[in-house]
Amino acid sequence: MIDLVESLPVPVFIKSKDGRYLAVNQAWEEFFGISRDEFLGKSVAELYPQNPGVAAKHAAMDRELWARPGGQRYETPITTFAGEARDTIYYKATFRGGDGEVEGLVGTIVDITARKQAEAALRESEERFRAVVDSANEGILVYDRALNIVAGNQAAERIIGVPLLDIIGAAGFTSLLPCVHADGRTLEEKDRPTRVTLRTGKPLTGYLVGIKRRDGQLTWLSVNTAFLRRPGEDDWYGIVSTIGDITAQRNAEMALRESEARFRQTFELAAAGIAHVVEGRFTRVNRSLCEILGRSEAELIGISVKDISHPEDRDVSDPGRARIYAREIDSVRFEKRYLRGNGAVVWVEVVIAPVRNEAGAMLYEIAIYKDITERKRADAALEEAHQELKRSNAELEQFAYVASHDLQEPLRMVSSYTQLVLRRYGERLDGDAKEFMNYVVEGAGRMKQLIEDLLAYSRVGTRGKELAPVDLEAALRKSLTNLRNSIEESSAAVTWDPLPTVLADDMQLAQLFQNLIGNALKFRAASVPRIHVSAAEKDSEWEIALADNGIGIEPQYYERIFMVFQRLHNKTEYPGTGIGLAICKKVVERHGGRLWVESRLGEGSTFRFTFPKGRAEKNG
Amino acid sequence: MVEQNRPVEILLVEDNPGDERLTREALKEGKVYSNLYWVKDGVEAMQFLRREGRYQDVARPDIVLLDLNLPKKDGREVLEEIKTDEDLKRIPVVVLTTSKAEEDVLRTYNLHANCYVTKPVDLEKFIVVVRSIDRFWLTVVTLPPNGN
Repeated sequence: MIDLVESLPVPVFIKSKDGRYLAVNQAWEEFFGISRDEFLGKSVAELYPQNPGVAAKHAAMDRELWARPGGQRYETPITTFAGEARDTIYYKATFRGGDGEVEGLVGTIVDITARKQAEAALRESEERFRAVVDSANEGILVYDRALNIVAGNQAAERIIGVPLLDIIGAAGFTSLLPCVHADGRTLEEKDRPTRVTLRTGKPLTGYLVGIKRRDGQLTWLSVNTAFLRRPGEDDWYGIVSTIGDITAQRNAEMALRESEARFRQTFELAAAGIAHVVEGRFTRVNRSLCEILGRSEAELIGISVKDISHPEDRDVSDPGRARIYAREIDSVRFEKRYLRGNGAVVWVEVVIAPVRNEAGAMLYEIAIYKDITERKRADAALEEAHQELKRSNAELEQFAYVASHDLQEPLRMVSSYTQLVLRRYGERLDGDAKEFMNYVVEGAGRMKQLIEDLLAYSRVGTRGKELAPVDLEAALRKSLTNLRNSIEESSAAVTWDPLPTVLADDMQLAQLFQNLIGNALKFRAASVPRIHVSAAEKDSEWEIALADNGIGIEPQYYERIFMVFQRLHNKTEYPGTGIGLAICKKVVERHGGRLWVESRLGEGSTFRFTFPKGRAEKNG
Repeated sequence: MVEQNRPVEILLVEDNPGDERLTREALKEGKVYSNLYWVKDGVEAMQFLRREGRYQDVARPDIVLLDLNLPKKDGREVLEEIKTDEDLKRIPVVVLTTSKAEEDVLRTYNLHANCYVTKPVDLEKFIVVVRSIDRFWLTVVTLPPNGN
């Protein structure tokens, strides 16, 4: 029996009823790392004075055995004499002597340290795995063979928006809420990710499912699935699916796609020509640009912008583009000419702006083209007409000047020699002859006056001075000085309100007042003439009013009185050629204003004229 | 009245014979004893004043009556030449103009005519003008005498 014990490969010990080691085997010696002599005759407490807890535990277990003899098993950590910690199971049993009395116990130790460590490692690994699953951003669901959910993580709860408690046991998460395909069709039972996996026998990746959450939000999910198999087994015991919330990504994608579609549509349908230009070459053009340039898209793509520019306008855009590249400006606008496919010239207004990436590097230039050929043509025609008008006006004035000047010479001859005849030979002429000759002289005099007036009229345009700020009041006073005799003679009362300063030719302004006041004096009624000058400020102009209490004018003559040599009265009543108001009108119009009359026959007239305001303020 | 020892030498530069005759007639009615010389264009006027060609023996004018509209060389050029010529610039020049407008044109050239006279249509007025030349003369004769 002892030999058997000695040769057993497991540590064996025999203790007496008083707890002392009676025998140990070789395996025991090897296990604890000391010889049996150290053990024999000693109690556990004596062997482990440093660890009274272990000794007490063994002693307590021993006492139980003595109280209830038989077998015993318990786990306990021990420390070998080499200081190694070991997890062990103690198997102990009592034995009886020949007298049948319990004499002692025999025991063995099974070293379970390795098993304990493996268990701990597994537990740790499971906990780690659990933590990974729980902290995963993606939802993870585990299905059994019946495709019911048996496990899930917190992310699944969050993504699906249903408590995990309700998810577990469900026949797939898609059974919990209404689901749709990417195109909006309802997701039927056969289309659930697990069913598809089962049917095809293949794992899914990126299977798109939209679920209508209880909070009303449509959440887009990307689902992956995989079969679960135990090592060494071919058959599967479950399916695991991971669920990613790609709503934000999908929305961004849709928005981008929509914006791209919108851009493409805008680009293509824009009335303006649009091009993308890289290094001076068209990389993209729209329909309108093809129409403007009279070339197809295929003809334009890749060719140099300068090559189809008008030779004189090739480099028009260079300075502006250089400033864009230097980041001094964000866009540049210019006008230039292009050559259409058929060689015709087209005038275009172009706006160029840079398109840069996030890092600020230039990707391409976007150029927007507007066909302004018609406008240019109209501008040119207008300019030509304007020049023509200026030329013809100048010619007309020159003509009036020269004509009136040269007309005076012969007139003077007629008049002077008729007078000389009258002077020298008057006594020898009869009454009729003298009367006739007087008519000649009188006619010549009137003609001279007409010519002088015509000359004065033409000189409003040709001899006017540069416009400068003029105090209207000063001009009015000057005209009154010139008219002093007529005013005194008629006892007229001329009054005025404060008058503004305007941009004008002071001489012409004085002449304007002089003619208007002179007229008011000339066409006075029976009562004493009263003339009042006032000014009213309007948005962009001053309106000057000159009111009299004269004979007035009938409405049908309001326009006619301003025409050259148009008169309303015969010469014996009111002398004059009828040039005064025509000159007034020309003076006012030369200053950019209007002149008109408001009147009632027998009650007086009010002549009103305007002067633009802005120009006077800008200069004065 | 200042005693007049010699006739006033008047040069009339005028292309219109009618005006020449009128001037002569008007002078007749004046009080001043004068010799009226008549040239018909600006070139002749300058030759007369500088005593060139056939004018080598003419008198130096005391006064020039200058019409503006002349063939070949117009009155404005004649006036400019007279007024920039050291020898001639002290001869009084009366410019005869057809219209007020013409006078303005002349003034813009900043030429120093001694007097501007607009030729009147009225004979009476013309006579008044010539008489004013008389008076003008009577004033200038008190100035340094003719350099001749």
